Amino acid sequence: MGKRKEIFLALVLVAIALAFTFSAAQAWTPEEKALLDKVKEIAAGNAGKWSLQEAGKPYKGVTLKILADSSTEADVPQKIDPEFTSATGIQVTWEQHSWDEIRSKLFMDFEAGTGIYDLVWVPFDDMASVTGKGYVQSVDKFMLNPKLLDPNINLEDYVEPLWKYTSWYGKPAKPYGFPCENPTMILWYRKDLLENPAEKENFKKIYRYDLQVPKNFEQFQNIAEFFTRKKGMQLAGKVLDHDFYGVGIEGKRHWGAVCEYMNFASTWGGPTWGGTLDENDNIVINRPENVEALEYWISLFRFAPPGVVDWYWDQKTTAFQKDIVAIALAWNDQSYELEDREKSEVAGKMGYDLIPKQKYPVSHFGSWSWTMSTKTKKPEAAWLYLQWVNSRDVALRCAKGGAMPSRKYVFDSPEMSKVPFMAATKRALEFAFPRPVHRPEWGQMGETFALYLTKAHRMEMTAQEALDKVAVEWQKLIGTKIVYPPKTQ
Amino acid sequence: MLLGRWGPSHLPLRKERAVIKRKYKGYLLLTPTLVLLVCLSIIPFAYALILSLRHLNLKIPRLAGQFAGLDNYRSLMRADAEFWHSMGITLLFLIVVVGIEFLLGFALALLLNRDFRGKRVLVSLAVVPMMIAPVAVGLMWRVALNYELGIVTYLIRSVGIPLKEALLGTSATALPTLMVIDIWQWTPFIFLIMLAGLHGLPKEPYEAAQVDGASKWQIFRMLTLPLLKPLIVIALLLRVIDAFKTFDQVYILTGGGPGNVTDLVCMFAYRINFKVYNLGYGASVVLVIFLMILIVTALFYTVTQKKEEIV
Repeated sequence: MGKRKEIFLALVLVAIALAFTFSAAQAWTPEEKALLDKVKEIAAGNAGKWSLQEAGKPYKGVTLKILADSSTEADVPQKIDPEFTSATGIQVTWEQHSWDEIRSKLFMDFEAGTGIYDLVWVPFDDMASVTGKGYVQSVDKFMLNPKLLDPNINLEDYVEPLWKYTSWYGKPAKPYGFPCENPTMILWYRKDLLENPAEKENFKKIYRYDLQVPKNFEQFQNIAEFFTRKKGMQLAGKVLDHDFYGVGIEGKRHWGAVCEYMNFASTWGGPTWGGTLDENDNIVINRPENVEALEYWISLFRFAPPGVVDWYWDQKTTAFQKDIVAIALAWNDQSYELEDREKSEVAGKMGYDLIPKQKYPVSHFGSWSWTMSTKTKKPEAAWLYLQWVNSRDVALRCAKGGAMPSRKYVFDSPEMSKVPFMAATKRALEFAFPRPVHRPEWGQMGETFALYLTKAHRMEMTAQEALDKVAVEWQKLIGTKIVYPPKTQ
Repeated sequence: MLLGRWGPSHLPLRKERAVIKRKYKGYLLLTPTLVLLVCLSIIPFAYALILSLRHLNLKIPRLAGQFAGLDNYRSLMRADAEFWHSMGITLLFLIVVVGIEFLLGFALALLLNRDFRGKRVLVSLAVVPMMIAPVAVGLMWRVALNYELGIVTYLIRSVGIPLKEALLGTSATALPTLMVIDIWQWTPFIFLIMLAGLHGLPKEPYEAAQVDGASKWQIFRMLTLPLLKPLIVIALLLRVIDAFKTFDQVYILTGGGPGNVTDLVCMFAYRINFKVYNLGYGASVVLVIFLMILIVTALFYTVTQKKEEIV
């Protein structure tokens, strides 16, 4: 073997080792791995011996009540529940509410200990709270019960960070359920405009490079600027009958703003907990990279519709549907709305890709977890339903109905590969990062964050002042160190 | 003996029973109301009071209801700049909307306090905004004020006023817009009370004043205003309390934003209680709001009563 070959081989080995180290950082702990292995072993032993009908027999006549979000993810399973009922004799009823309502309802119900709901969808922002307070129970005991374990449970099939951050809590972490609604942020762009020859030519004249899907935020800003046009001007060969804007932004004092900004903070300075806390939970929200990212984000407002200060994800989607915006960072689960020809003027004209990269590749994801109330009187029946509704086949059918997948099997299915934004989603999940949902104080932290982000938008504060203020307020809440001493307090 | 052993002793017993019956009848009749009051007001109030003395956050396991003494009140009064900001804009909101509503409502009542054709229709139409649920009002205005598609935005633009941002989206216009909506909805309330009051005024003093040659202004100042005073006090008091509690429109239209420029005190209390679930601290916020309303009401009542004594 020549020396060059040896060096090459050594480099490859180092690369593999580094890759392994990176993935190991996110991988299961030995306790978690042992649990998963044990479940796999029991599942293998159950193969050919277990059936849902037999397992459900003792619970025939039981009625389960589910509290869930008003979303497509909850609409689809309800249509196929009769199949579960006919197999087991277990009835299932659903109660759906909006995001705000469901949180208030679940906390009030859990605190009162009524046990009205057997299964509850919990946003992962609240998982640390509901698990810490003992409102919900871990499901490992059901997984380890051979009588209740479906041999086709295929736990290794879940997209790992998604399942882990969504449903594994406690020390050592235990599974409390499975992801049920898990949007992630991707890039939306008007493919028809970016590929229009006249626009391409004009763009090149001005910016001296080819118009393309933005790979970094300088290109993103150039595109936003380039496509911001007044009524009466030309856009892709047509005279505009309304103002057209480069970028859509979630500017309202709302979680939407927090989530969108975290992508900027993370790509500028690193994605640990969305650039808010470090590995030891020390506060880094006012680090210089975040300040720069916020300044950049605010600079985009000049290329956005004036109403964006009142926008969150719904208004952003509507703006695309109405053909008034060119690009945005957006939630993938809203993409179906853009492709619906009855509602959208841009169906078939959209492109989806990864969020541009400033320094780190990123995609912020949100998630909800199925959980089982500690107060349920029918835990085994509830587990059987939980397992069935999250099984590969039901998950695929839900995904076909518009739910976002969390299983690799569903992502890799031919049906899902045809969905225009699924390839971008799958790639985005490789870089997906959560917000600091492991902190039960996160709800309050997020409220403060949203307030000062909007103050910065409104130029009531500089980016540095706003983030310093957030850091100080967070310290009062969680008591950890502020790594970058505030410059403006 | 005719009455047997029941005779002589029975009569005083009957009397006694009648007396007791008469004495306690009032209490008996009051009992259902009192039970309701205790269950729906006193117990929740006492519970809120107890809660306010505890560190209880439904989302933070370490804040599980430990006794806090007056810590919550201390933090609220001394260190919570957001609370004081909310209190400040609530007072501003209250003074502006109640003031304008009163002037407009009273003026409208004086204007319509005469017989003319179509008066009933006009009065019915005028009170429509008041009859709509505040949540529906919020939703209606949300659509009307939409920057791209709203009818109000369109009308403002069509008269040549350029709108660079949504009315509810800028610090300068969000609070005034909320005020306008509140004035639109609640002016009819003042109008209706004042109109009813004007209708019920006795005619004799007016005839006497006219005979004495009093001017219209003198009649208004010396007769109408003093005679309507009890109604004015009640109308203003109800509006002050109601304006202090404004929540629905803010929740639907701005959520307290942009930033915190429309973060009225009830919105603040809602956020602490039902978004952050800091129930201990939230209870202290609610009780302080209650105390503030009580103080405002007492002040208002004292001032008006004093003036009445002077008059």
